[in-house]
Amino acid sequence: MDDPAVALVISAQGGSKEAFGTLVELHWARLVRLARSVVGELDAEDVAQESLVVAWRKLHELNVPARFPSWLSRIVFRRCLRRARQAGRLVPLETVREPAHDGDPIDRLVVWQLLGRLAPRQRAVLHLTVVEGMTDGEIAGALGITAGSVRAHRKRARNRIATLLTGGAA
Amino acid sequence: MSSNHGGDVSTRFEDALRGWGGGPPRIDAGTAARRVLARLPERTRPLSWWRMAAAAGAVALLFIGAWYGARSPSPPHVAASRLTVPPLPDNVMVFWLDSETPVYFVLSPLGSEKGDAS
Repeated sequence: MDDPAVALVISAQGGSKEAFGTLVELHWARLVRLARSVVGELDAEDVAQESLVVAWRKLHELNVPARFPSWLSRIVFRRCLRRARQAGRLVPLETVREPAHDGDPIDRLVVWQLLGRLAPRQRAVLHLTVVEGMTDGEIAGALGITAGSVRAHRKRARNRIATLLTGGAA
Repeated sequence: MSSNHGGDVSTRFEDALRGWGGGPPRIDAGTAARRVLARLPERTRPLSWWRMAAAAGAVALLFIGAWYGARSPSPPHVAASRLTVPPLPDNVMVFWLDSETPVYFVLSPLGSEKGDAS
Protein backbone atom coordinates (compact mmCIF):
# COMPACT_ATOMS: atom_id res chain seq x y z
CA MET A 1 0.00 0.00 0.00
CA ASP A 2 1.51 3.34 -0.99
CA ASP A 3 2.24 6.14 1.45
CA PRO A 4 -0.71 8.43 0.60
CA ALA A 5 -3.08 5.52 1.13
CA VAL A 6 -1.40 4.64 4.42
CA ALA A 7 -1.72 8.27 5.47
CA LEU A 8 -5.45 8.08 4.71
CA VAL A 9 -5.80 5.04 6.95
CA ILE A 10 -3.93 6.72 9.79
CA SER A 11 -6.08 9.79 9.39
CA ALA A 12 -9.23 7.70 9.45
CA GLN A 13 -7.98 5.93 12.57
CA GLY A 14 -7.67 9.38 14.10
CA GLY A 15 -11.38 9.92 13.46
CA SER A 16 -11.42 11.60 10.05
CA LYS A 17 -14.59 10.60 8.24
CA GLU A 18 -13.39 12.46 5.18
CA ALA A 19 -10.34 10.22 4.99
CA PHE A 20 -12.50 7.15 5.49
CA GLY A 21 -14.82 8.30 2.73
CA THR A 22 -11.87 8.47 0.37
CA LEU A 23 -10.86 4.95 1.39
CA VAL A 24 -14.40 3.76 0.67
CA GLU A 25 -14.18 5.19 -2.84
CA LEU A 26 -10.79 3.60 -3.44
CA HIS A 27 -11.84 0.09 -2.37
CA TRP A 28 -15.55 0.02 -3.20
CA ALA A 29 -15.42 -1.71 -6.58
CA ARG A 30 -13.14 -4.58 -5.56
CA LEU A 31 -15.11 -5.20 -2.34
CA VAL A 32 -18.35 -5.41 -4.30
CA ARG A 33 -16.74 -7.78 -6.81
CA LEU A 34 -15.62 -10.08 -4.00
CA ALA A 35 -19.00 -9.97 -2.28
CA ARG A 36 -20.78 -10.60 -5.59
CA SER A 37 -18.90 -13.85 -6.12
CA VAL A 38 -19.75 -15.10 -2.65
CA VAL A 39 -23.32 -13.89 -1.99
CA GLY A 40 -24.53 -12.95 -5.47
CA GLU A 41 -25.39 -9.73 -7.22
CA LEU A 42 -28.49 -8.88 -5.19
CA ASP A 43 -26.78 -8.77 -1.81
CA ALA A 44 -23.24 -7.77 -2.78
CA GLU A 45 -23.54 -4.02 -2.31
CA ASP A 46 -25.50 -4.29 0.95
CA VAL A 47 -22.84 -6.59 2.37
CA ALA A 48 -20.06 -4.29 1.17
CA GLN A 49 -21.67 -1.26 2.85
CA GLU A 50 -22.29 -3.13 6.11
CA SER A 51 -18.69 -4.28 6.08
CA LEU A 52 -17.41 -0.75 5.67
CA VAL A 53 -19.43 0.44 8.67
CA VAL A 54 -17.97 -2.44 10.70
CA ALA A 55 -14.50 -1.51 9.47
CA TRP A 56 -14.97 2.06 10.71
CA ARG A 57 -15.87 0.81 14.18
CA LYS A 58 -12.91 -1.56 14.28
CA LEU A 59 -10.27 0.67 12.72
CA HIS A 60 -8.44 0.95 16.04
CA GLU A 61 -7.77 -2.83 15.87
CA LEU A 62 -5.67 -2.43 12.72
CA ASN A 63 -2.09 -2.26 13.98
CA VAL A 64 -0.42 -2.03 10.57
CA PRO A 65 -2.14 0.58 8.39
CA ALA A 66 -0.40 -0.75 5.27
CA ARG A 67 -2.43 -3.96 5.64
CA PHE A 68 -5.73 -2.12 5.37
CA PRO A 69 -6.74 -3.66 1.99
CA SER A 70 -6.39 -7.29 3.11
CA TRP A 71 -7.85 -6.47 6.52
CA LEU A 72 -10.87 -4.93 4.82
CA SER A 73 -11.24 -7.94 2.52
CA ARG A 74 -11.33 -10.23 5.55
CA ILE A 75 -14.15 -8.20 7.07
CA VAL A 76 -16.12 -8.34 3.83
CA PHE A 77 -15.54 -12.06 3.49
CA ARG A 78 -16.70 -12.75 7.06
CA ARG A 79 -19.86 -10.68 6.47
CA CYS A 80 -20.43 -12.65 3.28
CA LEU A 81 -20.13 -15.92 5.20
CA ARG A 82 -22.64 -14.65 7.74
CA ARG A 83 -25.06 -13.56 5.01
CA ALA A 84 -24.66 -16.86 3.17
CA ARG A 85 -25.36 -18.80 6.39
CA GLN A 86 -28.43 -16.70 7.16
CA ALA A 87 -29.81 -17.08 3.67
CA GLY A 88 -29.05 -20.79 3.54
CA ARG A 89 -28.66 -20.18 -0.11
CA LEU A 90 -27.85 -23.05 -2.41
CA VAL A 91 -28.99 -23.16 -5.98
CA PRO A 92 -30.92 -26.39 -6.54
CA LEU A 93 -29.11 -28.66 -8.95
CA GLU A 94 -32.08 -28.89 -11.30
CA THR A 95 -31.92 -25.17 -12.06
CA VAL A 96 -28.39 -25.44 -13.45
CA ARG A 97 -28.90 -25.21 -17.17
CA GLU A 98 -26.87 -27.12 -19.66
CA PRO A 99 -24.41 -24.84 -21.40
CA ALA A 100 -25.18 -24.29 -25.06
CA HIS A 101 -23.52 -26.84 -27.28
CA ASP A 102 -23.05 -24.51 -30.18
CA GLY A 103 -20.03 -22.81 -28.65
CA ASP A 104 -21.90 -19.87 -27.14
CA PRO A 105 -20.20 -18.43 -24.04
CA ILE A 106 -21.48 -19.51 -20.67
CA ASP A 107 -23.96 -16.82 -19.69
CA ARG A 108 -24.10 -14.85 -16.50
CA LEU A 109 -26.88 -16.87 -14.97
CA VAL A 110 -24.96 -20.09 -15.41
CA VAL A 111 -21.85 -18.50 -13.89
CA TRP A 112 -23.74 -17.59 -10.72
CA GLN A 113 -25.60 -20.87 -10.61
CA LEU A 114 -22.35 -22.79 -10.89
CA LEU A 115 -20.69 -20.64 -8.25
CA GLY A 116 -23.69 -21.29 -6.05
CA ARG A 117 -22.80 -24.96 -6.06
CA LEU A 118 -19.49 -24.21 -4.41
CA ALA A 119 -18.80 -23.55 -0.75
CA PRO A 120 -18.42 -19.82 0.02
CA ARG A 121 -14.71 -20.15 0.65
CA GLN A 122 -14.23 -21.90 -2.69
CA ARG A 123 -16.16 -19.13 -4.44
CA ALA A 124 -13.98 -16.49 -2.82
CA VAL A 125 -10.74 -18.28 -3.71
CA LEU A 126 -11.83 -18.81 -7.30
CA HIS A 127 -12.88 -15.18 -7.62
CA LEU A 128 -9.63 -13.80 -6.20
CA THR A 129 -7.61 -16.15 -8.41
CA VAL A 130 -9.48 -15.73 -11.68
CA VAL A 131 -10.97 -12.24 -11.49
CA GLU A 132 -8.49 -10.35 -9.32
CA GLY A 133 -5.39 -12.30 -10.36
CA MET A 134 -4.04 -12.47 -6.83
CA THR A 135 -1.25 -14.77 -5.68
CA ASP A 136 -1.86 -17.53 -3.16
CA GLY A 137 -0.19 -15.46 -0.44
CA GLU A 138 -2.34 -12.43 -1.19
CA ILE A 139 -5.49 -14.55 -1.22
CA ALA A 140 -4.48 -16.14 2.08
CA GLY A 141 -4.11 -12.70 3.63
CA ALA A 142 -7.38 -11.47 2.19
CA LEU A 143 -9.37 -14.42 3.52
CA GLY A 144 -7.47 -15.16 6.71
CA ILE A 145 -6.47 -18.69 5.68
CA THR A 146 -3.19 -20.39 4.82
CA ALA A 147 -1.72 -20.56 1.32
CA GLY A 148 -2.10 -24.34 1.45
CA SER A 149 -5.82 -23.94 2.13
CA VAL A 150 -6.05 -21.56 -0.82
CA ARG A 151 -4.62 -24.18 -3.16
CA ALA A 152 -6.87 -26.89 -1.74
CA HIS A 153 -10.03 -24.77 -2.09
CA ARG A 154 -9.11 -23.76 -5.63
CA LYS A 155 -8.49 -27.34 -6.72
CA ARG A 156 -11.79 -28.52 -5.23
CA ALA A 157 -13.64 -25.60 -6.81
CA ARG A 158 -12.24 -26.30 -10.27
CA ASN A 159 -12.93 -30.02 -9.98
CA ARG A 160 -16.51 -29.39 -8.97
CA ILE A 161 -17.13 -26.88 -11.74
CA ALA A 162 -15.69 -29.29 -14.29
CA THR A 163 -17.87 -32.08 -12.94
CA LEU A 164 -21.01 -29.96 -13.13
CA LEU A 165 -20.25 -28.72 -16.63
CA THR A 166 -19.44 -32.11 -18.03
CA GLY A 167 -22.55 -33.68 -16.53
CA GLY A 168 -20.73 -35.75 -13.94
CA ALA A 169 -22.16 -36.63 -10.54
CA ALA A 170 -22.93 -33.61 -8.30
CA MET B 1 -15.70 -37.44 -21.06
CA SER B 2 -12.14 -36.56 -21.93
CA SER B 3 -10.13 -34.40 -19.63
CA ASN B 4 -9.62 -32.01 -22.52
CA HIS B 5 -13.34 -31.43 -22.75
CA GLY B 6 -13.44 -30.82 -19.01
CA GLY B 7 -10.48 -28.49 -19.38
CA ASP B 8 -12.15 -26.59 -22.22
CA VAL B 9 -15.39 -26.01 -20.37
CA SER B 10 -13.48 -25.04 -17.21
CA THR B 11 -11.48 -22.52 -19.20
CA ARG B 12 -14.66 -21.19 -20.75
CA PHE B 13 -16.25 -20.99 -17.34
CA GLU B 14 -13.31 -19.02 -15.92
CA ASP B 15 -13.41 -16.67 -18.90
CA ALA B 16 -17.11 -16.12 -18.23
CA LEU B 17 -16.39 -15.70 -14.51
CA ARG B 18 -13.79 -13.08 -15.31
CA GLY B 19 -16.33 -11.18 -17.38
CA TRP B 20 -19.18 -11.48 -14.88
CA GLY B 21 -17.13 -11.18 -11.70
CA GLY B 22 -15.10 -8.27 -12.98
CA GLY B 23 -18.09 -6.09 -13.79
CA PRO B 24 -18.58 -2.72 -12.05
CA PRO B 25 -20.89 -2.24 -9.07
CA ARG B 26 -24.35 -0.86 -9.68
CA ILE B 27 -23.73 1.95 -7.18
CA ASP B 28 -20.80 4.20 -8.04
CA ALA B 29 -18.02 4.74 -5.53
CA GLY B 30 -18.94 8.33 -4.65
CA THR B 31 -22.54 7.44 -3.87
CA ALA B 32 -21.41 4.42 -1.88
CA ALA B 33 -19.04 6.57 0.16
CA ARG B 34 -21.82 9.06 0.98
CA ARG B 35 -24.15 6.26 2.05
CA VAL B 36 -21.52 4.63 4.21
CA LEU B 37 -20.54 7.93 5.84
CA ALA B 38 -24.18 8.64 6.65
CA ARG B 39 -24.28 5.40 8.61
CA LEU B 40 -21.10 5.91 10.60
CA PRO B 41 -21.38 6.48 14.33
CA GLU B 42 -19.06 8.94 16.00
CA ARG B 43 -16.10 6.74 16.78
CA THR B 44 -14.56 7.16 20.21
CA ARG B 45 -11.07 5.88 20.46
CA PRO B 46 -10.92 3.28 23.20
CA LEU B 47 -8.48 4.03 25.98
CA SER B 48 -5.27 2.07 25.79
CA TRP B 49 -4.43 -0.10 28.74
CA TRP B 50 -1.49 2.00 29.85
CA ARG B 51 -3.59 5.17 29.89
CA MET B 52 -6.15 3.43 32.06
CA ALA B 53 -3.43 2.12 34.37
CA ALA B 54 -1.92 5.60 34.72
CA ALA B 55 -5.32 7.12 35.47
CA ALA B 56 -6.07 4.43 38.07
CA GLY B 57 -2.68 5.04 39.68
CA ALA B 58 -3.25 8.78 39.87
CA VAL B 59 -6.67 8.27 41.47
CA ALA B 60 -5.16 5.81 43.96
CA LEU B 61 -2.45 8.31 44.89
CA LEU B 62 -5.05 11.01 45.45
CA PHE B 63 -7.05 8.76 47.76
CA ILE B 64 -3.95 7.69 49.67
CA GLY B 65 -2.84 11.30 50.07
CA ALA B 66 -6.27 12.39 51.27
CA TRP B 67 -6.53 9.46 53.69
CA TYR B 68 -3.04 10.03 55.04
CA GLY B 69 -3.70 13.72 55.43
CA ALA B 70 -6.91 13.01 57.33
CA ARG B 71 -5.08 10.61 59.65
CA SER B 72 -2.13 12.91 60.44
CA PRO B 73 -2.30 14.36 64.00
CA SER B 74 -3.20 17.97 63.76
CA PRO B 75 -2.09 20.30 66.48
CA PRO B 76 -5.38 22.11 67.01
CA HIS B 77 -4.19 23.19 70.42
CA VAL B 78 -1.13 24.76 68.88
CA ALA B 79 -3.21 26.72 66.45
CA ALA B 80 -5.72 27.51 69.15
CA SER B 81 -2.93 28.51 71.55
CA ARG B 82 -1.32 30.75 69.04
CA LEU B 83 -4.63 32.20 68.10
CA THR B 84 -5.56 32.83 71.73
CA VAL B 85 -2.39 34.83 72.48
CA PRO B 86 -3.61 38.36 72.89
CA PRO B 87 -1.91 41.19 71.17
CA LEU B 88 1.27 41.87 73.09
CA PRO B 89 2.65 45.19 74.17
CA ASP B 90 5.76 46.36 72.47
CA ASN B 91 8.01 45.38 75.38
CA VAL B 92 6.72 41.84 75.63
CA MET B 93 8.11 39.01 73.57
CA VAL B 94 6.87 35.43 73.53
CA PHE B 95 8.92 32.35 72.80
CA TRP B 96 7.39 28.92 72.37
CA LEU B 97 9.32 26.20 74.15
CA ASP B 98 7.08 23.62 72.53
CA SER B 99 3.65 23.54 70.94
CA GLU B 100 1.97 24.22 74.27
CA THR B 101 4.40 26.25 76.34
CA PRO B 102 4.83 29.95 75.67
CA VAL B 103 7.41 31.92 77.62
CA TYR B 104 6.91 35.59 77.86
CA PHE B 105 9.78 38.00 78.22
CA VAL B 106 9.10 41.49 79.41
CA LEU B 107 11.70 43.96 78.44
CA SER B 108 12.12 46.59 81.08
CA PRO B 109 13.93 49.79 80.51
CA LEU B 110 17.16 50.23 82.35
CA GLY B 111 16.67 51.26 85.96
CA SER B 112 13.51 49.29 86.68
CA GLU B 113 13.43 47.06 89.72
CA LYS B 114 14.26 43.39 89.48
CA GLY B 115 11.50 41.02 90.23
CA ASP B 116 8.73 42.96 88.58
CA ALA B 117 5.91 40.78 87.53
CA SER B 118 6.17 39.56 84.01
